[in-house]
Amino acid sequence: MDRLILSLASSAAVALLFLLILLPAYFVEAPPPGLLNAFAITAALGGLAALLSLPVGLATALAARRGGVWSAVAQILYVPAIVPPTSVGVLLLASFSLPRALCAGGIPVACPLSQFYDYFVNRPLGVLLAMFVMALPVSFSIYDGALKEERAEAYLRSLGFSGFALIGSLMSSLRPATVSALVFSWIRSFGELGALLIFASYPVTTSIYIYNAWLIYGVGPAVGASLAVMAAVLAIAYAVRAWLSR
Amino acid sequence: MALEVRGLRARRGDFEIYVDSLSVNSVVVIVGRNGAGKTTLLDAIAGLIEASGVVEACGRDVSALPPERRGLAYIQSVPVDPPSRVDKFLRRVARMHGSEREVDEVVDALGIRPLLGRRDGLSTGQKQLVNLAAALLAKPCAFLMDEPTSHLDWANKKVFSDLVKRLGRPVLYVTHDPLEALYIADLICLMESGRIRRCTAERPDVGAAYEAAEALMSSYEQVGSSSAITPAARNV
Repeated sequence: MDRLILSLASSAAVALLFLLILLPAYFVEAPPPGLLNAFAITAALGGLAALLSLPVGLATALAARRGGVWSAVAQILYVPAIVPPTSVGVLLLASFSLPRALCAGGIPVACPLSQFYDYFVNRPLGVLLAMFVMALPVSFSIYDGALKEERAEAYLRSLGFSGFALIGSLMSSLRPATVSALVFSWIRSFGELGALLIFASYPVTTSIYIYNAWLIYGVGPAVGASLAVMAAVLAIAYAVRAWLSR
Repeated sequence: MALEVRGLRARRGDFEIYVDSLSVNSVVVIVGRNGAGKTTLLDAIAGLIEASGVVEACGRDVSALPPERRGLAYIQSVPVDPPSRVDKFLRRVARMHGSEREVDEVVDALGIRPLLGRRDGLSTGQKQLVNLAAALLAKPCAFLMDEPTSHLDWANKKVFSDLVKRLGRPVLYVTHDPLEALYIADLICLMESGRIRRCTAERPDVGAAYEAAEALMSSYEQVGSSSAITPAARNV
């Protein structure tokens, strides 16, 4: 059994090493300009989106444990993980386009809301929103699993914790889950393409940057950019995880 | 009356519990097999699941109040990691319920002073003592304890059981270990199929069995590495 486990694990690791690093490295060329800028924007907005997703994901996981209608309501947070990310982008774009359409159709009450389109579509707020939406299923599912193993809510509420004090204390008490949710959500923001491509392709994030590099400069620079992003994200994620779990 | 339950009815899925009457003024232990409804009963009393009937704590009806306002401290089988360093956590709980002056008293009573500067690396037994300390500082009308020793080794289980006996506070204690129930209880109630079938204050003295077990485990600990909570906690 031990041999089987190690064989499966090493096969997967070797396969990914060859398919995602060693074989593509044959084509590697210097990444096109703008890599650092795209990385910094993704790191900042992805980090903020991951942070924002934590209390919301935890609150939803707590609500889901109430059962009944709440467990059904909580499932809506899985939607971004179930539908293709391009659909999330299309749906977000449609939502933010609606007030404009209604305003043009003669419904004046919708006109002030049409400004949101300019604030979000192809804007930093739009990138943040798309990353936040895509981070929610990660935070929710990690906290949901953690709460099944540890009834921290029951204990802390019985001590008098409620509201934001309860959520903050739970996030801190469920520290391994919080670290995992934060790191995985943040890492995920570097790979998010579909939603951003449709809803907020500016400012340029790493996924858009790599996609553009492939379209404009070809495989070599795109491979170079991909490997550079991969190395940086893995190194930072490992360091952050080690620091937060110390 | 510290904790009084009357006509309590609660559901979890298709399973229903009903308790006609239960009074807790000392250590009352609910024993029963898995699925008897013990945890559902505690959850209903704590206000974590919907229930009908009356729950009174310190003489006031808390049936409609959320868990954080019932004055019932709920210790879990899997101890909760302190949200911050142990001393900060205890001081915070103490502040929420009065002043920090009682922290030292509780810390010394439970023998957890060596743990105050720590947050990580606490053993399960140590975490459970920290959970109990915070619960004491919350000054509850009564404690609800759901198999609090089920994840502890025998030595730590004995330490925790002795603490519960010496707390001098009303405790509604759930276990499926009859020997543990006989050791700590002032009153033992048997729960089956969601109902409390009978309660008794009569019980054989199992202190000798516990002493024999403790002697056995003390010999064992000299051979293996000890993970007992703290030496001081044994002498409370």
